[in-house]
Amino acid sequence: MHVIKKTITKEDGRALYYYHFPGTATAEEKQVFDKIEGEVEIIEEPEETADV
Amino acid sequence: MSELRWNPTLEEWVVTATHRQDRTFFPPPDYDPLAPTKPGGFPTEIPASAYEIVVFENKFPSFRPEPPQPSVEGSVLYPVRPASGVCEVICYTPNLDAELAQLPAAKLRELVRVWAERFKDLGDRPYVDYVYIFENKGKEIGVTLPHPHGQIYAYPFVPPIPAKEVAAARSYTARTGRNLYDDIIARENHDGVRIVWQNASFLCVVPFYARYPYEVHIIAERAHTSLKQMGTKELNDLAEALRVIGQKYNALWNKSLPYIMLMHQSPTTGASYDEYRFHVEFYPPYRTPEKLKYLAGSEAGAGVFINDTHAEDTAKILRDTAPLQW
Repeated sequence: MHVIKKTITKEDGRALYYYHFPGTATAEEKQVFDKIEGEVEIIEEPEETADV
Repeated sequence: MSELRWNPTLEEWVVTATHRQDRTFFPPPDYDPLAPTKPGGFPTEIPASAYEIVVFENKFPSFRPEPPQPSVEGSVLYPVRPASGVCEVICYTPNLDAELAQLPAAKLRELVRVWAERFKDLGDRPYVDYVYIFENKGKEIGVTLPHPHGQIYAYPFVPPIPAKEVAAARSYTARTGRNLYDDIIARENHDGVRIVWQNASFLCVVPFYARYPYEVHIIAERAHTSLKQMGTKELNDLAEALRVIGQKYNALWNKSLPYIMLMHQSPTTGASYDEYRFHVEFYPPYRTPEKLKYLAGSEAGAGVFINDTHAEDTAKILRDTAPLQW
Protein backbone atom coordinates (compact mmCIF):
# COMPACT_ATOMS: atom_id res chain seq x y z
CA MET A 1 0.00 0.00 0.00
CA HIS A 2 1.29 3.48 -0.84
CA VAL A 3 1.89 6.24 1.71
CA ILE A 4 0.91 9.87 1.22
CA LYS A 5 3.27 12.55 2.51
CA LYS A 6 2.44 16.21 2.90
CA THR A 7 5.19 18.75 3.49
CA ILE A 8 4.53 22.07 5.18
CA THR A 9 6.84 24.82 6.39
CA LYS A 10 6.33 25.99 9.94
CA GLU A 11 6.21 29.71 10.76
CA ASP A 12 9.85 29.71 11.82
CA GLY A 13 10.93 28.04 8.56
CA ARG A 14 11.30 24.47 9.79
CA ALA A 15 10.07 21.61 7.60
CA LEU A 16 7.29 19.34 8.86
CA TYR A 17 6.12 16.17 7.12
CA TYR A 18 2.77 14.46 7.73
CA TYR A 19 2.53 10.78 6.69
CA HIS A 20 -0.87 9.27 5.91
CA PHE A 21 -1.51 5.54 5.58
CA PRO A 22 -4.78 5.01 3.69
CA GLY A 23 -5.00 1.35 4.71
CA THR A 24 -5.06 1.92 8.45
CA ALA A 25 -6.00 5.58 9.13
CA THR A 26 -9.09 6.26 11.20
CA ALA A 27 -11.85 8.43 9.78
CA GLU A 28 -10.69 11.35 11.97
CA GLU A 29 -7.05 10.95 10.91
CA LYS A 30 -8.09 10.89 7.23
CA GLN A 31 -10.30 13.94 7.64
CA VAL A 32 -7.57 15.94 9.38
CA PHE A 33 -4.93 14.87 6.84
CA ASP A 34 -7.17 15.79 3.89
CA LYS A 35 -7.52 19.34 5.23
CA ILE A 36 -3.77 19.94 5.59
CA GLU A 37 -2.49 22.25 2.88
CA GLY A 38 0.95 21.16 1.80
CA GLU A 39 3.05 19.72 -0.99
CA VAL A 40 1.80 16.18 -1.69
CA GLU A 41 4.04 13.23 -2.49
CA ILE A 42 2.99 9.62 -3.04
CA ILE A 43 5.45 7.08 -1.69
CA GLU A 44 5.00 3.74 -3.39
CA GLU A 45 5.37 0.36 -1.72
CA PRO A 46 9.04 -0.65 -1.80
CA GLU A 47 9.81 -3.41 -4.28
CA GLU A 48 11.26 -6.70 -3.15
CA THR A 49 14.97 -6.58 -3.82
CA ALA A 50 17.70 -9.08 -4.41
CA ASP A 51 20.92 -9.14 -2.45
CA VAL A 52 23.24 -6.38 -3.55
CA MET B 1 24.49 28.40 18.28
CA SER B 2 26.02 25.28 16.71
CA GLU B 3 29.43 24.76 15.21
CA LEU B 4 31.88 21.90 14.67
CA ARG B 5 35.18 22.03 16.51
CA TRP B 6 37.95 19.60 15.56
CA ASN B 7 39.64 17.62 18.30
CA PRO B 8 43.15 17.02 16.87
CA THR B 9 44.05 14.63 19.71
CA LEU B 10 41.35 12.14 18.69
CA GLU B 11 40.84 13.36 15.12
CA GLU B 12 37.11 13.75 15.51
CA TRP B 13 34.52 16.51 15.47
CA VAL B 14 32.79 17.85 18.57
CA VAL B 15 29.49 19.72 18.13
CA THR B 16 28.87 22.76 20.29
CA ALA B 17 25.19 23.69 20.47
CA THR B 18 24.87 26.34 23.15
CA HIS B 19 21.20 27.13 22.41
CA ARG B 20 20.25 23.60 23.54
CA GLN B 21 20.81 24.69 27.16
CA ASP B 22 17.37 26.32 26.91
CA ARG B 23 15.48 23.38 25.37
CA THR B 24 12.16 22.18 26.76
CA PHE B 25 12.67 20.10 29.90
CA PHE B 26 9.91 17.77 31.16
CA PRO B 27 6.92 20.01 30.41
CA PRO B 28 3.61 19.31 32.25
CA PRO B 29 1.20 16.99 30.36
CA ASP B 30 -1.04 19.88 29.26
CA TYR B 31 1.94 21.43 27.50
CA ASP B 32 3.20 18.33 25.72
CA PRO B 33 4.91 19.75 22.59
CA LEU B 34 4.63 16.43 20.71
CA ALA B 35 0.84 16.08 21.06
CA PRO B 36 -1.52 17.20 18.29
CA THR B 37 -2.78 20.78 18.69
CA LYS B 38 -6.37 20.63 19.88
CA PRO B 39 -8.77 23.47 18.89
CA GLY B 40 -8.32 26.31 21.37
CA GLY B 41 -5.53 24.46 23.13
CA PHE B 42 -1.80 24.93 23.62
CA PRO B 43 -0.09 25.22 20.19
CA THR B 44 2.26 22.26 20.06
CA GLU B 45 4.96 21.44 17.51
CA ILE B 46 2.28 19.70 15.42
CA PRO B 47 -0.39 22.11 14.16
CA ALA B 48 -2.89 19.39 13.10
CA SER B 49 -5.49 18.11 15.57
CA ALA B 50 -4.61 14.47 14.83
CA TYR B 51 -1.72 12.65 13.22
CA GLU B 52 -0.58 9.18 12.23
CA ILE B 53 3.16 9.73 11.88
CA VAL B 54 4.74 13.16 11.70
CA VAL B 55 8.36 14.27 11.29
CA PHE B 56 9.70 17.77 11.80
CA GLU B 57 12.98 19.59 12.15
CA ASN B 58 14.05 19.89 15.79
CA LYS B 59 13.40 23.28 17.39
CA PHE B 60 16.75 23.02 19.16
CA PRO B 61 18.95 21.36 16.52
CA SER B 62 22.61 20.53 16.71
CA PHE B 63 22.73 20.65 12.89
CA ARG B 64 20.82 22.87 10.43
CA PRO B 65 20.48 22.84 6.63
CA GLU B 66 21.62 26.48 6.61
CA PRO B 67 23.87 26.83 9.65
CA PRO B 68 25.45 30.04 10.94
CA GLN B 69 29.16 30.61 10.57
CA PRO B 70 31.23 29.42 13.56
CA SER B 71 31.62 31.89 16.42
CA VAL B 72 35.40 31.54 16.34
CA GLU B 73 37.96 31.54 13.55
CA GLY B 74 39.51 28.19 12.71
CA SER B 75 43.22 27.43 12.44
CA VAL B 76 45.47 24.56 11.35
CA LEU B 77 45.53 23.34 14.94
CA TYR B 78 41.84 23.95 15.65
CA PRO B 79 39.72 23.72 12.47
CA VAL B 80 36.06 24.74 12.75
CA ARG B 81 33.11 24.16 10.40
CA PRO B 82 29.49 25.26 10.22
CA ALA B 83 27.20 22.59 11.70
CA SER B 84 25.41 21.79 8.44
CA GLY B 85 22.99 18.86 8.54
CA VAL B 86 19.52 18.11 9.84
CA CYS B 87 18.05 17.08 13.19
CA GLU B 88 14.55 15.65 12.99
CA VAL B 89 11.98 14.43 15.49
CA ILE B 90 9.64 11.53 14.64
CA CYS B 91 6.31 11.24 16.44
CA TYR B 92 4.45 7.98 15.88
CA THR B 93 1.71 8.21 18.48
CA PRO B 94 -0.35 11.05 19.91
CA ASN B 95 -0.46 9.21 23.24
CA LEU B 96 1.87 10.38 25.97
CA ASP B 97 1.96 6.99 27.69
CA ALA B 98 2.50 4.80 24.61
CA GLU B 99 5.81 3.22 23.65
CA LEU B 100 7.39 1.80 20.52
CA ALA B 101 7.20 -1.89 21.45
CA GLN B 102 3.55 -1.64 22.40
CA LEU B 103 2.41 -0.06 19.13
CA PRO B 104 0.02 -2.13 17.03
CA ALA B 105 2.02 -4.27 14.58
CA ALA B 106 0.69 -2.32 11.60
CA LYS B 107 1.73 1.00 13.14
CA LEU B 108 5.26 -0.23 13.76
CA ARG B 109 5.47 -1.39 10.12
CA GLU B 110 4.41 2.11 9.06
CA LEU B 111 7.09 3.66 11.25
CA VAL B 112 9.74 1.51 9.58
CA ARG B 113 8.45 2.68 6.17
CA VAL B 114 8.86 6.29 7.33
CA TRP B 115 12.39 5.61 8.60
CA ALA B 116 13.25 4.20 5.16
CA GLU B 117 11.80 7.27 3.45
CA ARG B 118 13.66 9.67 5.76
CA PHE B 119 16.93 7.77 5.16
CA LYS B 120 16.54 8.25 1.42
CA ASP B 121 15.40 11.88 1.59
CA LEU B 122 18.15 12.99 3.95
CA GLY B 123 20.86 10.75 2.49
CA ASP B 124 20.28 12.22 -0.97
CA ARG B 125 21.16 15.72 0.22
CA PRO B 126 24.66 16.81 -0.83
CA TYR B 127 25.64 18.10 2.62
CA VAL B 128 24.74 14.83 4.40
CA ASP B 129 27.28 12.00 4.74
CA TYR B 130 25.52 9.91 7.36
CA VAL B 131 21.89 9.39 8.43
CA TYR B 132 21.55 8.20 12.00
CA ILE B 133 18.14 7.03 13.25
CA PHE B 134 17.78 6.50 16.99
CA GLU B 135 15.46 6.61 19.97
CA ASN B 136 16.27 7.44 23.57
CA LYS B 137 13.77 5.89 25.96
CA GLY B 138 13.51 6.71 29.65
CA LYS B 139 14.73 9.41 32.00
CA GLU B 140 17.74 7.23 32.87
CA ILE B 141 18.93 7.79 29.29
CA GLY B 142 18.48 11.54 29.56
CA VAL B 143 15.29 12.19 27.64
CA THR B 144 13.86 15.65 28.25
CA LEU B 145 10.41 15.02 26.75
CA PRO B 146 8.37 12.12 28.17
CA HIS B 147 6.27 11.79 24.98
CA PRO B 148 7.65 8.79 23.04
CA HIS B 149 9.51 9.88 19.93
CA GLY B 150 12.46 9.01 17.77
CA GLN B 151 15.14 11.23 16.30
CA ILE B 152 17.25 11.42 13.16
CA TYR B 153 20.59 13.17 12.90
CA ALA B 154 21.85 13.78 9.37
CA TYR B 155 25.55 14.45 9.85
CA PRO B 156 27.89 16.28 7.43
CA PHE B 157 30.55 13.64 8.17
CA VAL B 158 30.67 9.92 8.96
CA PRO B 159 30.62 9.64 12.79
CA PRO B 160 33.49 7.78 14.51
CA ILE B 161 31.71 4.55 15.49
CA PRO B 162 30.10 3.80 12.10
CA ALA B 163 33.38 4.84 10.43
CA LYS B 164 35.28 2.38 12.62
CA GLU B 165 32.76 -0.38 11.86
CA VAL B 166 33.03 0.23 8.12
CA ALA B 167 36.83 0.17 8.32
CA ALA B 168 36.73 -3.05 10.35
CA ALA B 169 34.38 -4.72 7.85
CA ARG B 170 36.63 -3.70 4.94
CA SER B 171 39.74 -4.87 6.76
CA TYR B 172 38.12 -8.24 7.51
CA THR B 173 37.17 -8.74 3.87
CA ALA B 174 40.68 -7.76 2.76
CA ARG B 175 42.21 -10.29 5.17
CA THR B 176 39.83 -13.21 4.65
CA GLY B 177 37.97 -12.61 1.41
CA ARG B 178 34.70 -13.03 3.32
CA ASN B 179 32.04 -10.68 4.66
CA LEU B 180 32.39 -9.96 8.37
CA TYR B 181 28.66 -9.95 9.03
CA ASP B 182 28.06 -13.18 7.10
CA ASP B 183 30.66 -14.80 9.33
CA ILE B 184 29.13 -13.33 12.52
CA ILE B 185 25.69 -14.66 11.51
CA ALA B 186 27.11 -18.07 10.66
CA ARG B 187 29.00 -18.26 13.96
CA GLU B 188 25.97 -17.17 15.99
CA ASN B 189 23.74 -19.70 14.24
CA HIS B 190 26.37 -22.39 14.86
CA ASP B 191 26.85 -21.56 18.55
CA GLY B 192 23.20 -20.72 19.19
CA VAL B 193 23.84 -19.60 22.76
CA ARG B 194 23.74 -15.87 22.10
CA ILE B 195 20.61 -15.88 19.93
CA VAL B 196 17.63 -14.12 21.49
CA TRP B 197 15.17 -14.41 18.61
CA GLN B 198 15.14 -14.53 14.81
CA ASN B 199 12.85 -14.43 11.81
CA ALA B 200 13.45 -14.93 8.09
CA SER B 201 15.27 -11.62 7.64
CA PHE B 202 16.92 -10.71 10.95
CA LEU B 203 19.01 -12.36 13.64
CA CYS B 204 18.70 -10.92 17.17
CA VAL B 205 21.66 -11.65 19.43
CA VAL B 206 23.42 -10.44 22.54
CA PRO B 207 26.70 -10.05 20.68
CA PHE B 208 29.83 -11.95 21.73
CA TYR B 209 31.39 -8.53 22.31
CA ALA B 210 28.42 -6.95 24.15
CA ARG B 211 29.34 -3.92 26.22
CA TYR B 212 26.04 -3.67 28.14
CA PRO B 213 24.58 -6.72 29.96
CA TYR B 214 21.34 -6.79 27.96
CA GLU B 215 22.64 -5.27 24.71
CA VAL B 216 20.90 -6.74 21.67
CA HIS B 217 21.85 -6.39 18.02
CA ILE B 218 19.36 -7.03 15.21
CA ILE B 219 21.43 -7.95 12.15
CA ALA B 220 20.13 -8.17 8.58
CA GLU B 221 20.58 -11.67 7.16
CA ARG B 222 20.75 -10.40 3.60
CA ALA B 223 23.58 -8.28 2.24
CA HIS B 224 21.73 -5.01 2.66
CA THR B 225 23.51 -1.99 4.07
CA SER B 226 20.52 0.31 4.61
CA LEU B 227 16.73 0.48 4.83
CA LYS B 228 16.75 1.91 1.31
CA GLN B 229 17.74 -1.46 -0.11
CA MET B 230 14.99 -3.41 1.64
CA GLY B 231 11.66 -4.54 0.23
CA THR B 232 8.35 -4.65 2.08
CA LYS B 233 8.84 -8.14 3.49
CA GLU B 234 12.22 -7.28 5.00
CA LEU B 235 10.98 -3.97 6.41
CA ASN B 236 8.01 -5.76 7.96
CA ASP B 237 10.33 -8.39 9.42
CA LEU B 238 12.39 -5.60 10.98
CA ALA B 239 9.26 -4.14 12.56
CA GLU B 240 8.44 -7.56 14.00
CA ALA B 241 11.95 -7.98 15.42
CA LEU B 242 11.85 -4.54 17.05
CA ARG B 243 8.49 -5.33 18.60
CA VAL B 244 9.61 -8.70 19.97
CA ILE B 245 12.84 -7.36 21.47
CA GLY B 246 11.09 -4.34 23.01
CA GLN B 247 8.40 -6.55 24.52
CA LYS B 248 11.01 -9.00 25.86
CA TYR B 249 12.77 -6.06 27.51
CA ASN B 250 9.53 -5.01 29.20
CA ALA B 251 8.89 -8.58 30.35
CA LEU B 252 12.42 -8.98 31.71
CA TRP B 253 11.68 -7.27 35.03
CA ASN B 254 8.02 -6.48 34.37
CA LYS B 255 8.72 -2.81 33.81
CA SER B 256 9.14 -0.50 30.85
CA LEU B 257 12.87 -0.87 30.27
CA PRO B 258 14.78 2.26 29.21
CA TYR B 259 17.21 1.96 26.33
CA ILE B 260 19.07 3.65 23.53
CA MET B 261 17.99 2.15 20.20
CA LEU B 262 20.01 3.06 17.12
CA MET B 263 20.53 2.04 13.53
CA HIS B 264 23.88 1.59 11.84
CA GLN B 265 23.54 1.94 8.08
CA SER B 266 25.94 2.66 5.26
CA PRO B 267 27.19 6.24 4.94
CA THR B 268 25.55 8.31 2.20
CA THR B 269 28.74 9.68 0.66
CA GLY B 270 28.13 7.95 -2.66
CA ALA B 271 30.97 5.45 -2.16
CA SER B 272 30.46 1.68 -2.04
CA TYR B 273 29.96 0.04 1.35
CA ASP B 274 29.28 -3.55 0.27
CA GLU B 275 31.33 -5.00 3.14
CA TYR B 276 29.03 -3.34 5.68
CA ARG B 277 25.65 -4.57 6.96
CA PHE B 278 22.50 -2.90 8.27
CA HIS B 279 21.94 -3.55 11.95
CA VAL B 280 20.07 -2.14 14.93
CA GLU B 281 21.65 -1.92 18.38
CA PHE B 282 19.84 -1.66 21.73
CA TYR B 283 21.66 -0.47 24.85
CA PRO B 284 19.54 -0.87 28.01
CA PRO B 285 21.33 0.87 30.91
CA TYR B 286 20.23 -1.55 33.65
CA ARG B 287 22.35 -4.54 34.73
CA THR B 288 19.82 -5.68 37.40
CA PRO B 289 16.24 -4.50 38.06
CA GLU B 290 17.60 -1.70 40.27
CA LYS B 291 21.24 -1.20 39.30
CA LEU B 292 22.39 0.94 36.40
CA LYS B 293 25.47 0.33 34.28
CA TYR B 294 27.30 3.65 34.45
CA LEU B 295 29.85 4.81 31.94
CA ALA B 296 32.61 5.56 34.42
CA GLY B 297 36.40 5.91 34.31
CA SER B 298 37.31 3.01 32.04
CA GLU B 299 34.40 3.42 29.66
CA ALA B 300 34.32 7.24 29.47
CA GLY B 301 38.03 7.98 29.66
CA ALA B 302 39.74 4.96 28.14
CA GLY B 303 37.01 3.70 25.82
CA VAL B 304 37.15 0.24 27.39
CA PHE B 305 33.82 -1.21 28.46
CA ILE B 306 33.67 -3.48 31.49
CA ASN B 307 30.66 -5.79 31.18
CA ASP B 308 29.65 -7.52 34.43
CA THR B 309 27.95 -10.36 32.54
CA HIS B 310 28.55 -12.92 29.82
CA ALA B 311 26.53 -12.55 26.64
CA GLU B 312 25.66 -16.26 26.73
CA ASP B 313 23.94 -15.85 30.11
CA THR B 314 21.93 -12.72 29.37
CA ALA B 315 20.98 -14.02 25.92
CA LYS B 316 19.49 -17.13 27.53
CA ILE B 317 17.51 -14.99 29.97
CA LEU B 318 16.12 -12.86 27.13
CA ARG B 319 15.52 -15.91 24.93
CA ASP B 320 13.51 -17.57 27.70
CA THR B 321 11.54 -14.39 28.44
CA ALA B 322 8.19 -14.28 26.64
CA PRO B 323 7.37 -10.89 25.06
CA LEU B 324 5.04 -8.82 27.24
CA GLN B 325 2.21 -6.98 25.48
CA TRP B 326 0.23 -4.50 27.54
